[in-house]
This record gives sequence, structure tokens and C-alpha cells, in this order.
Amino acid sequence: MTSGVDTAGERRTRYALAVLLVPVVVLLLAPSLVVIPMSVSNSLVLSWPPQGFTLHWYGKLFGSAEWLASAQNSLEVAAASTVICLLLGVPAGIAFGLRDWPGKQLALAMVVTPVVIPTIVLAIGMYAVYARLGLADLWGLAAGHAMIGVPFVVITTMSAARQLNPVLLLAARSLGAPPPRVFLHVTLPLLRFAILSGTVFAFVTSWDEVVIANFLTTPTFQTIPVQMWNQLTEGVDPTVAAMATTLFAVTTGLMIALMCSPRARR
Amino acid sequence: MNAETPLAAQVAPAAAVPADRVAPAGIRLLGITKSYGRLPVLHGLDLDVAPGEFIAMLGPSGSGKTTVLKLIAGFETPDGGTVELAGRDMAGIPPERRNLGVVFQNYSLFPHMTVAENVGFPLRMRRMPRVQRRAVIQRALELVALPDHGARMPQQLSGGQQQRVAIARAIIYEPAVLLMDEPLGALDRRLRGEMQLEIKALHARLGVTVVYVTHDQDEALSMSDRVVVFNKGRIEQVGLPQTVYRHPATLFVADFLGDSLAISATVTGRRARLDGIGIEVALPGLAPPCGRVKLLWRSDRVAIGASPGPARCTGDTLVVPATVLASAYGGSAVRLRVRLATGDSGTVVVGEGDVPAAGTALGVVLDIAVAAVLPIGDDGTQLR
Repeated sequence: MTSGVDTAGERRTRYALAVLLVPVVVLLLAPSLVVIPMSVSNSLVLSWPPQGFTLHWYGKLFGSAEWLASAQNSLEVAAASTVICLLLGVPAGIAFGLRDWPGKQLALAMVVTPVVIPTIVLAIGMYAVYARLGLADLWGLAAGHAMIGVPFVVITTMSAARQLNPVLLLAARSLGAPPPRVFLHVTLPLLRFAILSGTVFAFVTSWDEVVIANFLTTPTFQTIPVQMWNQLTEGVDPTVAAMATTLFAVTTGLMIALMCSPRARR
Repeated sequence: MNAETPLAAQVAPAAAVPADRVAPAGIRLLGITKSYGRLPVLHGLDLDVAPGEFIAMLGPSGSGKTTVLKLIAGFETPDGGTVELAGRDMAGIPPERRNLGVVFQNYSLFPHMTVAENVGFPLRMRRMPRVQRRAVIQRALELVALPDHGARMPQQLSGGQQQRVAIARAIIYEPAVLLMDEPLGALDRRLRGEMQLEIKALHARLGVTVVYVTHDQDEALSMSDRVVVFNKGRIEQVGLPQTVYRHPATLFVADFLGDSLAISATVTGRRARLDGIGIEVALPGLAPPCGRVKLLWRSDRVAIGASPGPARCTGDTLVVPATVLASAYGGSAVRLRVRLATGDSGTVVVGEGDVPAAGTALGVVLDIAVAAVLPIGDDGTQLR
């Protein structure tokens, strides 16, 4: 709607849409937001509605060696998994987006399959195989998370590569750049925003993943979501809500940063 | 400085200084064949381009001219035949090692680099240190009349300015050959005229061999030393602009390079018997092959007389009765579509003035001495 001239009918439609949007937003967002008041609740157990106000649980969270170890594990796993996703996903995305080759559609379908297969199914399979291979803790979990993170990197890279003007690559060749330098100086920089958003998605996917992590972690190596799960099943104090709020803040912060980055909107 | 200042005006004084000349390379194509899948696009093509020559490749889209450019650049590999640059066979040599510049139709500047970074890209690829690059970039930008635009992004420039930057980028490393693929195709008519002069001036100054692909016959005729006319993957004619225009070798060349009027005839010895009106005329020049021909005149060499009268021939002057089918006003001239008593139809260009209405009978006045004689098959198709 760039005309600038609004008819009364158009304006009514827009108001109606806005009104409809409110319950949708509430429905989607409210469950995530519930943990925030719970994390500052002045009660000894996780409960609703919250009572009073205290930052005690945050103090306890950041004073807990156990929670901090989990946070470090989560970060390491997410970082390792993201690196794997980029190493596999960026070249694959370029191959899918820039070139035609036999079997491309089939290969693409296989790459994105992990997104549609129930995670629990993947997790059981990984558990069976990785245990045998001795893949546990950091690298086992990073590999498992890479499997569900790669599709995001492939898809964002691929759609950007499709938009890439192939004349630019020919021009670079004619101007004296051999293929590796064309990739480094032209292809990669032109795909950088797509790769960046793929990176954030891959990181977040690993950061808050609990199903695979539940299977591949050990009592001595836990990630944040796994520890939260374990604590909840034991029914404990609101520290877990404080952790959930922190987790939520990190993820949301990353996503907002991505959306606000000046070129990502193009 | 006004960005649209014609470069020609600025280059002219500097051209007196013999400083920027590079050693241009010749190009030789021998028996080039190329197919895309099962679709043949070039059928055994031979062409010699002299060092320093400005050659235009002219033809309709799909005629193979752009494919030839890609083969010279190394973007494509010929199925058969050889491409030589400066006497060296280019088989197996990738584009980045052929030392040639390519200017594409549009949108070939790197959008993530400034104008200066774009222009300096070839130098960076040749590992010239940054401090040295700066002065060379500035000189190249001055050469295309954009000295103050180095810090801009390509998207902030007009189409004409972007093409200037693309040209600066393609010549900054002094390539031996400059390939241009419809470089002005996306510009409006007025700007195109200006840029044509600028490119000509650059060619004169740099002395680089230029291969210029276009489908615009005016551009090809006005800019080049020689014109190569392509049709359906074959070269129809190679020659000076005047030659291909005045003496087209084939009907295709005659049609593609402008308006004309042709009369079917049968040649025996040095005489031609014109269809329909039964007049015999003596042909000029060398004896043409016997058989069916078309006698062809460029439309600007055809005059109209008021009285149609009977068909007649006095000396070299032939008058053929004709009827006006339609007229199209075109500013300085009016194009008349006429049907001749011989059964042929063609176009006559007359000055602005009394424009005969459709249906008017008139006499078309032709000079046998300037006719081009084109052999055709018995079925009327062009002989090759």
C-alpha cells in the first residue's frame, strides 16, 4: 500500500486486521511470558499466580556452579554445532541455489528431512548409533544438533544464492579472479546476510534443544534445557523460571538483533 | 564535475599525448562450432580481428554473436575449432588468465563494493599494493569522467554512470582486448549516443582491440572499423560499415542493416531481365552469376517521380511504376511502403514535404549503377 491515499474501506479493513491480530499475538507469546513473573515470585515453589517480588532466584541461578557449568556446556555445544552447520550448509546452499545438477531435488529433500521428522525419532536413532561410536557429550551433541541446524543454513543460503546475479561471478573471473578468490571476494560477501541469519537460526536451534540433548547428555555433562527438564521433574524452586527467562532473553535478543541488522530486511 | 559530461570532449586534448597505449592483441577464430545440448548455435565460424581493431558483431538475438563473445572471454568452451588471442591458442586457459576486459549489458558492478573498490578489483586480484592502487584507480575514474565518485556505492549511480564505472574497471589493468556485450543496451537513446562517442574516444586513446556486440545497426555502423553480421549461427558478411550497408552480400544483411527496395530478375551474361515488366538492363561491375537474382537499392538511393507512366530504362536510369501502400512519418524523413509493377514491394525514403497518400500511383526512379546484385535460389530463397 504505497498509494498514500486511503479509502475509508481500506482503513476499516486495517483496523479489523489489527483487532484480529491481538489475540493471535497474545496466544503465541503469553506462554513464553508467563515464566517472567514466575521468576521474580516470592514463593518457595514454582507457582502461579506469582506473589511479591524478589531477585533471589536470579542470585541463586548465577551463584550455582551447576547452572553455570550447564550454561557453558550449552554455549559450547551451540557454537560447535553452528560451526558444523556452516561448514556443511553454506557450500550445500550455494550448490543448490547457483547450479543445476541431476538429483538436486532429491538431495534437497534429504537435507531438509530432519526438520519434518519428529525429533524424538531422530534422537532415538542417534542414541543408538552414537553410543556405539562413543560419541557423547560435546561433540556427539554438537553433531546431533548440526543435523537439525543444517537445513536452516542450507535454505537461507540457497535462497540468497538464487538471487545472486551470475554475471557478477563471470565479471570477477574476467577481471582476473580465479574461482577461489571469486568465492572469497564476491560470492561470500554477497551471501553474508543470509549466512548470518542461518547462523543465528542454527545457534538458537541447538541452544534450546531438549529432546536430542536428553538422550545424548550424561549426568556429568548437561545443557541448560536438559537441566531445566530434570529440575522440573523433581518439582523444585523458581530458579528454573529464572533460567527460563534468561534463556528466553538470549534467544529473543539474538532474533531481534538479526531482524534489526540493517541489511537483513532486504 | 557534471557526471554526464561527454568524455569525448575531455579525452580529445589528451589523445595527442601518446602515453596510454597498450599492446593490443589480435583475435583469430578457426572453425568454431558450439551447441547447447542438442541445439547448435555456431556452425563452423572463422574470423580474424586485427590488433587494435574495433569490430562490431551485429545480429538479431539468438544469432550467436554473444556466444562468440563468451568463447573469446573463456566463459564457454567451443565444441570444435580454436580461439587464438595474440597468436596463442586459448584452449584450457581460464578467463582470469586471458588478460581481457569484459563490459556486460548492465548490473555487473559488485554491489557490496564502492565504485573505487570495484575499479580497483582487478588490481587487487593482481596483488598490487593498496597505496599504488589508489592513484591508478583515480586515473581510471578520471578517464571515464567520474573523478569524484569513488566513494559512492554502485546503486547510487545512474545507469550511464554505472556503465562508465564498468568500463573503467575493465580497462584499468590495460587488457589487450576489450569485449563489450551490448554495453549501452539498457540506456536511453540520447545517453546511448553520447556514450558511443565516449567509447570511440577511449578506443582511439587506448588503442585496445574492441569486440562490440550489438543488435543495433546504427551503433554497429557508426562505431566500428568493421562489422560482422551474424544470422542463425553463421557469419553472413564481414566488411567495412559502408560495404555491408551499400553492398550487402545477402538479403538478410540487406534487411537487417536498414530499409531497401529490391526487384527480382533473371541474369543472363551481363544483362538482367526484370520480373513482371519484361525490361532488360545492363548490369554494372563484374559479371554476376547467371540465374535468379535480386537487384537491391538502399531506400535513400531511390527517388520517386510524379508520373508513373510505363516501365522504362534510359541509360542507367530505370523507372518502375509503383503504388504507395502506406507511409510512416519519421522526423527528418518519411518512409513509404510501395508495391512495384514487378510484383516486389519495398521501402522508399523521401524528404518531408508532399507525402503521397496510400493508393497513389507513382514512378520509382532507380540508378542501375548503384544496385547491389544478390543471387537467390529458384524458389526465391537466399543462396549461401
